[in-house]
Amino acid sequence: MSFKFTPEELKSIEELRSKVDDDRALVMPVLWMVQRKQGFIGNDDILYLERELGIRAIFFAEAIGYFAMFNDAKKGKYELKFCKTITCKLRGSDELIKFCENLLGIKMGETSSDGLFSLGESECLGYCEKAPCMLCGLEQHAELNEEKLESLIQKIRQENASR
Amino acid sequence: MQVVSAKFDIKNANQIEVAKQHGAYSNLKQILSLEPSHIMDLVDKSGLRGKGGGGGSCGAKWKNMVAYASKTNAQKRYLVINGDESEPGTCKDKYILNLDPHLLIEGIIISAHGLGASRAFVYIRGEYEREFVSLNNAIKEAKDELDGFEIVVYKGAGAYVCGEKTALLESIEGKRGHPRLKPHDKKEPDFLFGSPCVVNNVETIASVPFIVKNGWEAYRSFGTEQSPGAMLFQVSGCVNSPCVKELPFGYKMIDFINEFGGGVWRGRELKAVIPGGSSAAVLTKDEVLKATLDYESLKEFKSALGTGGMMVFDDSVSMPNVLLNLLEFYTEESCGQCTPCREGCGWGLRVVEKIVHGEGKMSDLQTLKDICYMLDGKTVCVFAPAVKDVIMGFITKFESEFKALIND
Repeated sequence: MSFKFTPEELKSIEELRSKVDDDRALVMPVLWMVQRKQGFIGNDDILYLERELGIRAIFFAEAIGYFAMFNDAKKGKYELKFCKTITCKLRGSDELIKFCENLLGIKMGETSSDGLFSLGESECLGYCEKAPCMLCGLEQHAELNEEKLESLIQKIRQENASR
Repeated sequence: MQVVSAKFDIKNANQIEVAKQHGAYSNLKQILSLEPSHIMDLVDKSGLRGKGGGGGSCGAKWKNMVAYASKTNAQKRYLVINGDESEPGTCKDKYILNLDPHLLIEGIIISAHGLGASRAFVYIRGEYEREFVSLNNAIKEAKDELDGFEIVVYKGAGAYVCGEKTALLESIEGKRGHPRLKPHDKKEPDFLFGSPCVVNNVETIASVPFIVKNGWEAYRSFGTEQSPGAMLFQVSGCVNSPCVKELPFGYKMIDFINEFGGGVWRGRELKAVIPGGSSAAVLTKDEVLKATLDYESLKEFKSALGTGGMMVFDDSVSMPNVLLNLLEFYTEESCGQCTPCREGCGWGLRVVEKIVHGEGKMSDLQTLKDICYMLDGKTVCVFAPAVKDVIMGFITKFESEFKALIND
């Protein structure tokens, strides 16, 4: 199933269009709209955006290629991204990543077979004073330890098993 | 004295009713009835310096933009707020965005009046979802205070270089975050959609309400002569209690680390500090003991105050390993526009990697210096020169640690 805007979303895009002086400025906000909904932005989605908004497809493709947070392929439903920068390393992020790999049974860069979790790394997440930290999707988790990580993963598994 | 952190400890101060009970938007109508030039004068006289890392005069930047816009009869002027703090060690603006977003909104309203800006754009890094939601909620709450003035919040998507103001502007315009060539005329402002604009950091704009409400003298009454006022300083790494704390400029660095950071952890000895976000040159223990938290002091050590984000390293930390990690960061985050930066960061990383893995030669240290020469002053933005400072700081001040790993 490919991506489609709802009428409300199209309305909010038009509203934003009225506030910027160049339609191309819609590129980032619109890509976020797609990614929030389906977790990635595929080629079909880019062509849909071009048709729907009249903005050249290459502009979307260029932003997806450049910005690290835009996914061009499907990931796990929950993408865990550990900060790999020095302040988190000093406070034990390497050990935490190994613990998480064991817990999920996957290695960095992989997705679990049930499609629930992807494991990745990120550059500095801006939580240096609360290191180590990670993103779960877009949710920020700071002052992480093994207990916190395990209970988060357990909670996600339970929530998804009961659905 | 608290300029931006006064409401950080107040419960629910992110909500407008609570924020108002504690002074948010007070006298706003009166302030907006002042002549814009008066607001500009207050900011200029206060000596407010950009708190995103550069430390340039805020008043001078504003005056340049207004003068240019008036001279060219610009139809539109914009105020752009830089909330893309992405540099390792830097984690302060999120406190304003989360705990007191109304202070920023108030600062935007007052600053936009002073600048004659027709609209404001706030660019928040993509990883800061909580902060993005917090500010958007606050903007909805502040509808009456905004009185039709528009604030558009943009979400970045994971590119450190978009903290560089012109890369940020490119990103808002929907392009890759490639920094722009700087004009020869330093008085020329920045441009968004072809209209003159001012780009200021979150904390800088959040400092404006204090200055306008209390007067420039009040802001200048603390800090130092050349670095007046206060700033949110951060300490992270090998300390007992990493934290963010607002203090006047001029505070002793070692006192900050001991009093607020709880001292070096696990009873270990202090080895080094990176003072202002990772791109400021590293300081040795001796330098840390002498340094004060202001722009001039750090300049004496050929480093920079930057964002005031201190990263502390204890005596068990391998400095070549720290440099390796930082070069991984810079290699990943170079936008790739300029060849010296794109190639130089990766080359530096590979050389340090070799040294750390025990495969280095003495000549590699000279190669790193040659790479630094290539990185300095030959690129569009200051990303590459900053990487030069990082490399040179480590290999000159901790040379013995690099040599100890070399079996030449």
